[in-house]
Amino acid sequence: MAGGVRTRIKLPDTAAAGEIITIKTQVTHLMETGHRLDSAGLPMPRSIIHRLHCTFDGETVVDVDLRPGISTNPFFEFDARVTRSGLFEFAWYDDDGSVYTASEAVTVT
Amino acid sequence: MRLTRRTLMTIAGAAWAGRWGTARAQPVEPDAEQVIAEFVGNAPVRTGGIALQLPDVAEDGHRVRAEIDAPGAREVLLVAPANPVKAVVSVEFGEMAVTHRVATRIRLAGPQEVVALGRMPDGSVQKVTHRIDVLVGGCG
Repeated sequence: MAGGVRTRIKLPDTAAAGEIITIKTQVTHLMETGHRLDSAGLPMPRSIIHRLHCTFDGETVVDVDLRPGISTNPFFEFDARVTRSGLFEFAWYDDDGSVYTASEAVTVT
Repeated sequence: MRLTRRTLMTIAGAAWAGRWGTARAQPVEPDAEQVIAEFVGNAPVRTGGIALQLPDVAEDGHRVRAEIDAPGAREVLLVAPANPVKAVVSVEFGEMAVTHRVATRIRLAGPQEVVALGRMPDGSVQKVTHRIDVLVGGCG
């Protein structure tokens, strides 16, 4: 699943000090549950993204433990209070060992 | 140890049995009660301190929006008792996640009572459930 994975982040570029902002994230991934059979009737092995870790200047915002019950192209929305300018970093951990990353800076005005 | 035909046969047999064993063994999925009990531990369980937003009816169980609002919670867990894997997602909130809110899209295998649990700073666990009807199952 390492090829063709795209990440999408939506959050404001600027915020007032102390403002609570909403962060939306999505990554393209099949999230193969491990419970389906292929056309030959053989079980298809589980292949999912099992962790999403969002940090702000190194400090955890959310740490998400995903299981096969999360839909294809995992989407997560959450909030963060920003008190200073900094960098949001996102890391998605694939079962196959790949790590997909993205980052977005926020400027406090 | 001298390598005799007998020891070789024993080793080969054991290796084959081991391979067979792992190839056949299905990982045992804990049931919903076990998943919930593991999260709760010895903590007191209360209801009503957190909110779980789900539709009452989902036409397509492949993607159902679920939102947990857990003011104050350090960690939340979503459990779908009718799914093959009961634990759906757990989220730890850092200091900045002051609303303790998370929304995502989940798979639901069929009609069921979805459970959300939140671990509060005082160590107690808040619980909320939501009954949902699913027209087309999304697991499998």
